[in-house]
Amino acid sequence: MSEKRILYSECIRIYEVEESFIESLHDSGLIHVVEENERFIEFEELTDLEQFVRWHNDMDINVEGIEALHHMLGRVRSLQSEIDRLRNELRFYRPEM
Amino acid sequence: MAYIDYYNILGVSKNASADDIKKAYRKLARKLHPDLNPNDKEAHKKFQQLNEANEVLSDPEKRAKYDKYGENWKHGEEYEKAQQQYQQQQRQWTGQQGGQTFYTEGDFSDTDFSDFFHSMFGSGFSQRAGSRSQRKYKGGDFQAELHLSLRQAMHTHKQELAVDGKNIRITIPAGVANGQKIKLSGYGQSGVNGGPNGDLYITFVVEDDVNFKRLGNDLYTSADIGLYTAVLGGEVTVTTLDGQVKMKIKPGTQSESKVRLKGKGFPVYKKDDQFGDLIVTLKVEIPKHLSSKEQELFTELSKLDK
Repeated sequence: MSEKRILYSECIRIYEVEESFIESLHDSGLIHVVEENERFIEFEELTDLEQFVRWHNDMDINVEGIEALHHMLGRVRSLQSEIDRLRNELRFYRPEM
Repeated sequence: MAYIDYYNILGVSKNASADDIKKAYRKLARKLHPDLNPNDKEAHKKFQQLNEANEVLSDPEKRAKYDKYGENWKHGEEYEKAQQQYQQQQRQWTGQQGGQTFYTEGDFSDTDFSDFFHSMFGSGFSQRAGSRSQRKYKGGDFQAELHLSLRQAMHTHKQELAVDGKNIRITIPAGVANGQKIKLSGYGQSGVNGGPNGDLYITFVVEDDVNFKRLGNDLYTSADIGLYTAVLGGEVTVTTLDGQVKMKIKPGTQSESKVRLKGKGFPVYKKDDQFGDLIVTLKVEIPKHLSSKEQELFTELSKLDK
């Protein structure tokens, strides 16, 4: 499993973020830090983490804002998939669309 | 190649301070950031311009050069010299970094910068050594669209896709829906600094079929039945997506009535041996050309009806 995760300290070094930032993401449940003999972050969390780092750096958004944004984007995605489903239904009744 | 007014893009004056530029960039980034505008190509393009403007104006060295030669970039002799110097530096820089650039969705590599930017600053300078280039880790994600016929989508099958010059073989589970997106972890761009590869996202476009319509896991089709079968009952052969089946017709069946064939519809995604239903709309064919005998018998029948 070791190849599927990255050391916490390594992650902070590579992304050049403050430890407190990742700690806050972990505390708010946005990122899960695995605690064993050492601390790790799973590779599958990196896409989200990179996005949060981008929002923080590019848009100056704090962790509370990131939490709200993450939730809202989840809602947008869910509504988008609902729209896709309804579009498919509409196509059934109006094939010319 | 047109001159680009980076100050105008950021909406700041030419004497704006570094802090003003940072604030303007972040304010516009909050509006145009691709993460907040998924699938919006216009916002994506504007964010690229914004990113480029910020790249130049937030770097004192680049900003000074842009201010000096920007509008006259084609003519300045000193600019030419500076460009040569930059290109030399760039070659050194590229050698040190191994020439590796990549981006994830919402992030940008120097290939996203304009020709104007490249002419003025050369490539490779879009990422400042020691800052952004070191921060990158996971490879960028790829997005692909795969078109399937309805018949292809009803069977689990393998298909070969060309992604970034490489052929990959994927298994498409039966029952994928139109617009459904799947993620193939690790099939995106290569990671750097030993990081994981990005992911490949495939959106399925399931084409309509001439004879069948799909609604969720149910399929809809129609079948013609003769007048006598509709009146007296009998049997009719119906074509399903998977072959032909025989269906009983009750006496007195009306035209446009629907019959549901359980389990003869579309397979349920990732649920083995589960299928939707096939709904058959029966269309009663009224005979158009009657023989004299038929004419006689129908007339007799019509008299019975009075």
